[in-house]
Amino acid sequence: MKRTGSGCAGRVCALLLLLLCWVQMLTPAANAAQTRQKIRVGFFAFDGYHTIDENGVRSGYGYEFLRMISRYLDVEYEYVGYERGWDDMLDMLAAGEIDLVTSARDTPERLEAFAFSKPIGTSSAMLTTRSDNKELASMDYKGYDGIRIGVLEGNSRNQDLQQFAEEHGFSYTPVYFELYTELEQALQSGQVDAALTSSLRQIENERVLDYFAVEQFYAIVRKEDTELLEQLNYAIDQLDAVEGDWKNNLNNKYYFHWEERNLSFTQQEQELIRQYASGEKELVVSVCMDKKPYAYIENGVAKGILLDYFEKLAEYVGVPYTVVASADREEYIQWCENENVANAFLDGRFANDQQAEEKGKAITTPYVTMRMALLTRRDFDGQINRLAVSDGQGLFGIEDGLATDSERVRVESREDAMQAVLDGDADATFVYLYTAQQFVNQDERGLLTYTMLEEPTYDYHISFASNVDRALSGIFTKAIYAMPTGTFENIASEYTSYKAGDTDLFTWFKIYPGTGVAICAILFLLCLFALLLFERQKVVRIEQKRAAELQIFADQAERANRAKSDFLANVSHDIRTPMNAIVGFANLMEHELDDQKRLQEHIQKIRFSSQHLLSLVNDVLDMSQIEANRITLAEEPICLTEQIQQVEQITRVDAAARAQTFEVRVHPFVHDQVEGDGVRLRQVLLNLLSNAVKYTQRSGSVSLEVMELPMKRGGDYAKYRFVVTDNGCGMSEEFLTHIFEPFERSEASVTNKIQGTGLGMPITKSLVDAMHGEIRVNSEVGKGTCFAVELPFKQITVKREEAEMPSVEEALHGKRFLCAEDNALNAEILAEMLKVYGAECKICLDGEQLVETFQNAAPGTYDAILTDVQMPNMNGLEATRAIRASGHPQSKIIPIIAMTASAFVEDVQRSLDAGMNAHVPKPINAVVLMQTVRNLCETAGAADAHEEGSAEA
Amino acid sequence: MELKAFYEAVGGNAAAVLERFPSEGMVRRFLHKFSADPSYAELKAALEQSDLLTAFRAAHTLKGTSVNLGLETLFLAASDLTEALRGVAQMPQQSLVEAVDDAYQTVLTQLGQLEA
Repeated sequence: MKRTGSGCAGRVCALLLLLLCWVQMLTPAANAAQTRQKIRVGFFAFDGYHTIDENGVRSGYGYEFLRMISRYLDVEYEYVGYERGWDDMLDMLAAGEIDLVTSARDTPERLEAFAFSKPIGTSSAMLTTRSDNKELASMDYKGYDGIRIGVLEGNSRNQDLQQFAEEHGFSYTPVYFELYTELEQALQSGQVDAALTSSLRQIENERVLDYFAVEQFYAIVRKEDTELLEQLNYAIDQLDAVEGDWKNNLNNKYYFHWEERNLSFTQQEQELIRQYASGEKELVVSVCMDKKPYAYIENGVAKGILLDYFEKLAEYVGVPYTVVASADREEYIQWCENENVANAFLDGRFANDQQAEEKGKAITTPYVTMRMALLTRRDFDGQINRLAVSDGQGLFGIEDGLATDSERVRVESREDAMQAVLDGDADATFVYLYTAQQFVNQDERGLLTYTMLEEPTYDYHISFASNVDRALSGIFTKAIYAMPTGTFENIASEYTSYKAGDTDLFTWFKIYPGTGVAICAILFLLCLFALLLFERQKVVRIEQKRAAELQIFADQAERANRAKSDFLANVSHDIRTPMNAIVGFANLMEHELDDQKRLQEHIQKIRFSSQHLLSLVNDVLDMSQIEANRITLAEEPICLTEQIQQVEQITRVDAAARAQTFEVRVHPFVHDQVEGDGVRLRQVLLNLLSNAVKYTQRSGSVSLEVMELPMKRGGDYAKYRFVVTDNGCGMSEEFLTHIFEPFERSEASVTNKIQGTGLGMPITKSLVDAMHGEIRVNSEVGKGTCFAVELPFKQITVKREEAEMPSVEEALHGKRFLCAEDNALNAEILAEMLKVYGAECKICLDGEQLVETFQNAAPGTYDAILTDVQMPNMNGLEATRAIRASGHPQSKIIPIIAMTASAFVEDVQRSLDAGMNAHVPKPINAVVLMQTVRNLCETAGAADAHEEGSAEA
Repeated sequence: MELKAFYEAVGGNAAAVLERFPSEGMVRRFLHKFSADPSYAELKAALEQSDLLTAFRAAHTLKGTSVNLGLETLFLAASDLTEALRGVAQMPQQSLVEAVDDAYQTVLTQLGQLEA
């Protein structure tokens, strides 16, 4: 250390100087803060008016108003009473607990008690119902009669409602609530049919029935606070003068919602719908059938996305209709013009509204924006020399803009155009997006590809003939708005997605005539041969399998032992450190039994060291198993979305504790249900994510991105990429080269404080290897780290499973289970679940009872045992050992299944070590339980059959 | 009341529960049985008498039952209380008990509106 005395003195001087400056700078600011007037504002919670979100951020009309006037006043606010209701505000204002509250209307008694500012907005009474309530229609007052309306206690709007009801001649039952949140809940749960509040409430999942009693509202203060009132009025004048239409802007910002759109049909509309429904009038729909998969004819039947979508609309509206198809494009254009065959056209495309008007058509709002695609072969070099153009298509004129110089290959239809590209007669063609998608997906050899074009796009409307009632376009516009988001896309995907079933034998022959025949012949012979072999070797096979298994177990045990001792030697240092701390602090504590505070502190330290030691030991055990190749991966059905959600939940807690932002982006999967080891997958992701959180500073960011990767069609596997990114401390290049070796840990000074076993990454790597995946890492010191893991999972094909396995019902019917579960209600649930599948069970309340019942039962009484792990008296592990050692004829072979809430690998391993055959997670999932039981009973059944067979021999 | 609305009100995911159970009727039936389950009363009585071991067992049972029926808010509260009672010799923090009380009451209230 090279530090001189003078340097040191210099530093002290500089420090003093800095301090002086700081104090001087601080003083005026502090003075200003003292003189600024503080106003206590009544800030009762009311969504959209006064809102505080989970991050403590305030918003709402009322809040923004306060902020706006503070531009013109030298005040600061204290926000009071977020947990209170509106009627408390008036009491608090009168009692001097707050100085100001906004949103008050000028009722006579209030005018008497308080001083009112200039108006600060308009509000009305708002009657809402749950958005899915179809019985109440806006302004249909007969329908209101006798409904239950939730109202807020002491709200001045309640009188408005009374008056409103009298005027419109309906009666209602008021149900009173203290807080608006309770009212909202009651509306959603169906406790009340409608809710009455001020229109200043932001609504969600609600539909407005009526607004009435529109009035201005004000800020109010105590009568004697004349100075504050003057200030308020001054600031409101400023807003009116400077801020333009601020009241309307705030209104739009907080209260205008698309969901508020009233999509219920008016009486006129209902009458018209009735006429169509009763057959008085007839709706005849047509569309040009030259747009596969949008609209086309297949085997004489009109089909397509547009027709399916219209079916949904018509179903929503409740009108029947007939579809007519023209022979060709020319005829269709005639129909559109003459309006003598059909009166509704689904592919109404107009350059602008005036064009529709001139043609006398009434059109709905656009229901889809049609996109175009450029279809090419995969080996397309980017240069369009020959462009296929179909007859009907020339109208678009895209090719003039995008492929000006190309030679035109004229064909009859879009299909022919695409076929021309496939056959190499043309380089490219422009078609509708889904047309391209479907064609590419049907091309078995995968020679084609398409690029979506940003421009041009075409809006499709439903266009009604001039001779039908115009209101029909309004009715269908409402229906279009009422369709859930994605309706059109969902229908489209049914048409365009690749179906494995499409590749039938016929297609095969078509593509590979010679090879097809040969392969079929070989397959047939192979099947025959396999069948023969299988029959002959059935018995021998089971015997061989058992012997082989025993040998494998022996080998594995030996290897695992060796690996473990190697490891223990390696980790001795890592284990000794926390162990020394534990012993050391325990010694200290002996001498400080009277000093509570120090005791507490040291207990904390012991706990910390113990936890570290525990995670180290867990990791070591995990690692040793992996090293010994003893790791067995489950192949059970898992739902990837669910797995990611579980991982997300855990990480979110950790990230929140460090104030980090944590983002999860999941791109929609093609295959969400796969076969794999959920526990191990989660372990991999959690290892990466917990590291990311641990090695990233507070307020940093961590993200997880997941996508399914494109795979060759027809394979059994789907591949997924999981990317974990953080902007934390990063790793040096040198460290990166060793990151996957056991007991390496980044020792940069920042990370010294971080406890870790140094085994996380090697374990992760080994797990990824075992799952036949890949892991890559990118990192830069001080900037962050990015891990990318790619894992294949077997796709679940339902058919195969059905073929191999008997159904759950068949497998479980008549089976008898012996169960141990100390929670009476859960025991009952378990029994009931089994009963649903035709199985019976006997319940024991602890391990002792379980062992006793099993021992006293005649052989064959029970087919399997299901047991909780944690139980009083004797736990599930002890009970299992006792059963396996009991000498009962079934003691060694009866399947025992653990039911455990623990997802830890070592706990599962412990249950297997104790002699259990499988485990199912708690809370119990009927399907998982049944599948596990079925699988085990099948194997046990086979073993039984084998034992009986060998006894006879 | 819809099962979905019930689970939204008590904190939980109806879809996840329905996936685990063979039928919705069964979920409804056991939810109503849950209100008759004595664990909560036992827990309260044990805490009243400072009988920590019994309280721990009751809290543990409540935790097991609530997680099985997907009553997540109650489950989280009961888990916290169970951990606070595990192997200790002092009464748990009142706030932990109150969290269980609140969650349990919410479940009971909402159950009142859920048809069997």
